[in-house]
Amino acid sequence: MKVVSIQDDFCTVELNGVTKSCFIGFLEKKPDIGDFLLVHAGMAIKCLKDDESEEILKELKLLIDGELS
Amino acid sequence: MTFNPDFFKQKELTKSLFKKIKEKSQNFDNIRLMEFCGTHTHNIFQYGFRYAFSPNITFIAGPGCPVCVTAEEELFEAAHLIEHHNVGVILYGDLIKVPVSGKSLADYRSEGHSVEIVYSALDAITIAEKHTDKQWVFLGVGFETTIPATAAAIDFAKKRCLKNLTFLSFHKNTRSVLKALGSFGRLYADGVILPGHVSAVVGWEYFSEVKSFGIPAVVVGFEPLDILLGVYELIEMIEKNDVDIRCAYKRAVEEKGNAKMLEKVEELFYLKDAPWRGIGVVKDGGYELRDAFAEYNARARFSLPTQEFKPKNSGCKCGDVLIGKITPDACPLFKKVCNPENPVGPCMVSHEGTCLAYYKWSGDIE
Repeated sequence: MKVVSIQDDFCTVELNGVTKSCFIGFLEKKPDIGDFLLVHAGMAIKCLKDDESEEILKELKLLIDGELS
Repeated sequence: MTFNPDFFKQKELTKSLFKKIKEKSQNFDNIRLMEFCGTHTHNIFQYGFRYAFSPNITFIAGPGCPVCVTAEEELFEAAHLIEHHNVGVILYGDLIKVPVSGKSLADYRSEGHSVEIVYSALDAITIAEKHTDKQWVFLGVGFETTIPATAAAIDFAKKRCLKNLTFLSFHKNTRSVLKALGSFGRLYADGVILPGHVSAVVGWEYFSEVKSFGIPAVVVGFEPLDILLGVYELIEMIEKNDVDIRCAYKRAVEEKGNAKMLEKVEELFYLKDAPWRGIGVVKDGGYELRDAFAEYNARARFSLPTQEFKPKNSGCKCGDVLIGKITPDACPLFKKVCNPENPVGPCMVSHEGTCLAYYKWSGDIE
């Protein structure tokens, strides 16, 4: 869910037009507006970072071409 | 790099990987992959994967629906609090419809009792502060993913000196049940799809003991590409007899998990032997509040039934469904007397329940 505003230990997150309040006190560092959070029962568990998609894309291309099977 | 939430929904990549798994699945007669988490059960149906690799790969659902594994005697405690202590009960949605010896918490609400549904445990604070003339009990249901929310709510209740809110922990520990099933040869699987959100809290290394049962396991996310990546990795491990734990959900799951959540849970709770519906008492299978937080523990504030609870025998096979021993269509009640309108057992109630997933998605496929 995408962070749209932050107030102390809480933020407002949005997904498909639906907004929810979310506790961010358990995160290692405060998110920025526009970040994506993994949220469960009103708690942010993790700030999602795009550090795997490029690697996966590369591996999948190799796999699909039969080089990693 | 900016996070792209749609990356793992890409149609072309998903189709290509699907074909690759289909080809690879021909190397197997029939391997059983257990998806522990109820959300995986529903998504595997919804994306059309459930029967896509049959008969070479069979997906079986595990005990990963928190509402489904909440024991009848635990819900009986909640009913007892309403009937004998006139408390208001606060809970997560699905739990309200689970029948206990024929009567659900929704039935109590129909009779005029206070039963409130919330999205987060923190909403219990708002309710208790708004209705100070009443004692409220929050029913803590869920696994390692959900217990930090209960811990945060207890922290808030303490900081705000709330005297009319206590907590009844039905929280369960997923690692303990995997160990219990594995130790007694009841893990009916060749590979395990580990729960993504639980792992985001506890870290993927947490499940490393699953290896001792000779079964590989992979932490998997919830989008179509996530699930196929996890399945591919798992069948590759099975093929190579590589018994290990791997993570295919790295954008959300790290080796060690969320340290602040784990510390808070450890501060407030300890592991105790606890009943799992359909499985029995699991060693270290549940969480209880530490004595230092007794004033927020409903079991300490109110006298609760101590006699053994004897549920009526309804013929419900949720117990066997929860451990993957049978699929819901093997239960004589399924789609006959048990359906979402009139659920006999919790697996037909919860949005994560296996019986509800089969009811909604399986059609007449045998």
